[in-house]
Amino acid sequence: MGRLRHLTVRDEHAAVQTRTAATPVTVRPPIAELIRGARAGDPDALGALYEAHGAALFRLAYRLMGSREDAEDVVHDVFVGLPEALGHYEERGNMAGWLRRVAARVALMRLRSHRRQREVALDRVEDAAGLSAVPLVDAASLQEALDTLPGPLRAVVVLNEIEGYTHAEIGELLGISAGASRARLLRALKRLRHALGRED
Amino acid sequence: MSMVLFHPTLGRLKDFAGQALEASKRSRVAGHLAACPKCRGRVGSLAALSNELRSLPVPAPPGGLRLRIANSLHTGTRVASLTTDEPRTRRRVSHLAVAAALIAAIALGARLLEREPHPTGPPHDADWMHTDPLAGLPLWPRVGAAQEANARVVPPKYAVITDLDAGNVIPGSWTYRQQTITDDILTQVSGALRLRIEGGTHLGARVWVVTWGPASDTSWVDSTSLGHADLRLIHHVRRGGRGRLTLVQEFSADSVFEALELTGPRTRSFRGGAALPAPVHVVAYWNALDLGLLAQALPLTPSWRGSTYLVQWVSMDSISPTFLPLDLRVTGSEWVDVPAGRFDCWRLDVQTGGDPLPLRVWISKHRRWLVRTEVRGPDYRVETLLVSGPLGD
Repeated sequence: MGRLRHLTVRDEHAAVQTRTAATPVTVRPPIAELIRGARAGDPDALGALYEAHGAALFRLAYRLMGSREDAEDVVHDVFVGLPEALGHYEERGNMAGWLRRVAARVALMRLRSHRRQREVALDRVEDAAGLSAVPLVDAASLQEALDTLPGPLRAVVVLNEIEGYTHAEIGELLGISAGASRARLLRALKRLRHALGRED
Repeated sequence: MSMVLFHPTLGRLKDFAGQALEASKRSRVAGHLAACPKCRGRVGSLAALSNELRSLPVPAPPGGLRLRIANSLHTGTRVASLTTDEPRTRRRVSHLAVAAALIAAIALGARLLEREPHPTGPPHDADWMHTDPLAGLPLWPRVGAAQEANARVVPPKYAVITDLDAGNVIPGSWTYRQQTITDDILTQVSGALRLRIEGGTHLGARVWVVTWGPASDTSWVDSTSLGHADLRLIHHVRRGGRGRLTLVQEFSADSVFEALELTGPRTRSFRGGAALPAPVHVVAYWNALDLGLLAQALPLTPSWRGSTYLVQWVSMDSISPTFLPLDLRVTGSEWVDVPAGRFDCWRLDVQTGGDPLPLRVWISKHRRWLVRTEVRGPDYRVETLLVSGPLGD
């Protein structure tokens, strides 16, 4: 597995990707090979998976948890537990989607177990303001409103509005019905609109 | 076109904004949105909120995270199983029998609550999608109801229109097709509307009577009478709701008086009056076709702009302003193709106070016909197109 050390994983279904002549050729192992390695706890395989998916999973976890530290813990737990979790992966469908569901479950489990009051940390909006397409003041207000939502409502907003999960998928993740997910989303949106002063 | 009385729920508007609504419901909501600035604003607000949520900044993962993971893997740190999913499912199954009754009750409640009263409308009941005209209503007490000026009138953006030319008004009947185009691909025809302008009398005085409603039935009808020489709004009647709704508004030189009757399981009666914001040509505005007569009388030029006021509910002004400014501005000149033919038109933007999705209308230069109207949302547009007129333009 040592040969995987400098490889980049981008497309799990392609083994070789050829770039233009001006860029170096990047060779990636088949995803099946990575999965076998990760199942065996191979650090290189896990590292390759982290390179490919870590940032996306961190974003998802950050949005769900509301803090950088908690998001770090979630991603840490996902990758440390991955060798065991991959035992349940049937290698059908989309690896990225499966990893996102795993990360969402870990985050939601932590949210349920912690039940702690989340601090409203507007400074973290400023930390990443350069990445935002929304004016800073608006983003700060919206982040604050999002942070003050109860965990179950926030989770539905993040999963549906930001991550694009369907209500059926959210229902599966949260152990609720699709209708309940939809109802939670509407309650959350009403609260957000109220907090932002956008009610009719 | 729908009466702005009962409005789609926030959930339905959310589904509309997110394109999660089935075609028939989507068309119905789109038809409502074409006539309802309030709900257009809500859809726009919901769509904007979704975009803002997706645009919230997220920091990059810290550089040390990969090393921390590698260390944990190296030292054999264990975490809770990542796939201990669906524990709640089994627990739920054991309670299904009890839950079923609750779900049935909740579902029944949800159905009852599905159509929420709009902030601008009265409480539940009248079904505005059906109709049968009723007789007129007595109006009282006139003077006492209009003693206080409406203090919440938003000022108009442009100079108030005072130079309408009644001599340009031509009677006739126009038929329009209303359709919704989603993502510039899917076209759904909502139905046909007919606008009629004809001479008449009201309390012995000569008036222009402007009537519009569905072309194929009398499910509802909207009729206004305007002074023949000065085009001042005198009388406005709207009947609908399967014979359960009748709205009558009568205008004096400086006031409007309203009677609203809702019959059915909960019969209610509303009366109200208000001072007009200015001695101007207010418009009883529920739909773009209400601009049909105004279009003929406006002194349009390439840079023309002017404002008037639209009148909404009077007797329920506590939940919606009775008057809103109606700001019109010529924004261009262009040829427009509609089913009735090709017309050289003025293009006007029409904005009501605070409406984020303005109405755009095209008025033919030759006869001043209302040729086309358009309301454009984030991913849809609702068009009203002229299908036929009294004469070739």
